[in-house]
Amino acid sequence: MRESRSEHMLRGSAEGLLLFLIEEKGQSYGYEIIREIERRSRGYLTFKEGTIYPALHKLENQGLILGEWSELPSGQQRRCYRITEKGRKELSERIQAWEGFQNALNLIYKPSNA
Amino acid sequence: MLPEVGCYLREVHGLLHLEPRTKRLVLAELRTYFQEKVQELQGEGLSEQEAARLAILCCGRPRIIARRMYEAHSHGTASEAGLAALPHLIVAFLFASHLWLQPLWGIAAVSGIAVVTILAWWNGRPSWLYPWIGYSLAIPLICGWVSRSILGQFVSFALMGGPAPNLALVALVLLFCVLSLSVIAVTTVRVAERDWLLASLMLVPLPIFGGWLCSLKGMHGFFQGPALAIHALDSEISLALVALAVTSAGFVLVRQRVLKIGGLTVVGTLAAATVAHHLWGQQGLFGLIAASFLLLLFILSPVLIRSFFSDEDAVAFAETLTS
Repeated sequence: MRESRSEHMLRGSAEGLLLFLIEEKGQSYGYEIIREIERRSRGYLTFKEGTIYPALHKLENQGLILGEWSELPSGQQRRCYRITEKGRKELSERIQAWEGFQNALNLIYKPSNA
Repeated sequence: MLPEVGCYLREVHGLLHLEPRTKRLVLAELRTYFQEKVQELQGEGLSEQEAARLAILCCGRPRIIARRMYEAHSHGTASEAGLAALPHLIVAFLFASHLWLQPLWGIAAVSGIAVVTILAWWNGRPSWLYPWIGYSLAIPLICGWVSRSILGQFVSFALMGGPAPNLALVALVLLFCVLSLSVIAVTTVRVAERDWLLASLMLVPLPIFGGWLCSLKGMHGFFQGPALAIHALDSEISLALVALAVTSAGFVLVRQRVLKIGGLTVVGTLAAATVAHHLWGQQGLFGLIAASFLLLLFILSPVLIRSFFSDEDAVAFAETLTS
């Protein structure tokens, strides 16, 4: 199946989005992040939900986030992630790079705004 | 756990080539996801079965999740890649400089490799360990080969009579051979349980050393043959080991499994062909191809071990889901 244009664009930015949402919430878990991305993008950014977990594991292996199991009052186990210092630095670099990229695209698509 | 979800998780479990602890973590996380997603969809009015089916659809194909999980967990640092290449380079150096026959160098290399292997095995089996295990397994293979004449004497005595060998020594050598083969078999199975590809990487040096020992037999053993003839294969072996060093470093650095399988098959075929050429080159091209193919089959044999164990794994995993 061919991936949609938004899926293709999301692939390069998914890790940055995960870092941003985890940093903003203090700590978060896979399913909450999935719902948050969908809610904030008003359903525009959708992807196969299972693929968010490999992305979280990759970030954890790189030392950018830290995962810990926590137990809910219902007894259910949930793995929550929080950002590390290294992750914060990486996020700030990614945001800077994104802003530069976005400005450059705007200069091309909307030259009157420049 | 709903049967559809259990079936889906079993499929992911069968496709994950990760160490058991990481595998459990991944599956537990996916299981939590399904519980939450199904609960939410039921809240929107779907039946439990419909909710489970939709949750599975949203999750994506098990093969893709397993592949991405593998890629997330199988990338190492440059220093880990260097460590993976190191045992090959140490032994390649011994062969290139013809130092392997000098007791001090040989003992230092062998004991160093064995100590590092044991320490790393008991400290979480890092990704760079597997080439070290391969060389540690080659040590009993070589010792068994050196002591084969004692067993030969015993067999000759048992079949045809003649001078009686030292039975205590025969028993000791026999015990050593049985123990060594058991260690090789158990280690291969344990590593293949995690990932058959790592077991293949681990086994690659063994046919090279097997071929080398067979070639020494033609020169009347380690210590009796003429020095020049004994070192005849040194350059080829050191080159093959350098190629294995590059492959092992690639195993740590590259995320894509398909590239690892391709790299190991190409280098394994070349190493097997080199050994086969020296041993059976006179049998003609067909003999050479057949021998290379058999050696490559040996290197890739862990895939069969893995397929045998995957059924038992799946049954054990299914029991944890239903409990």
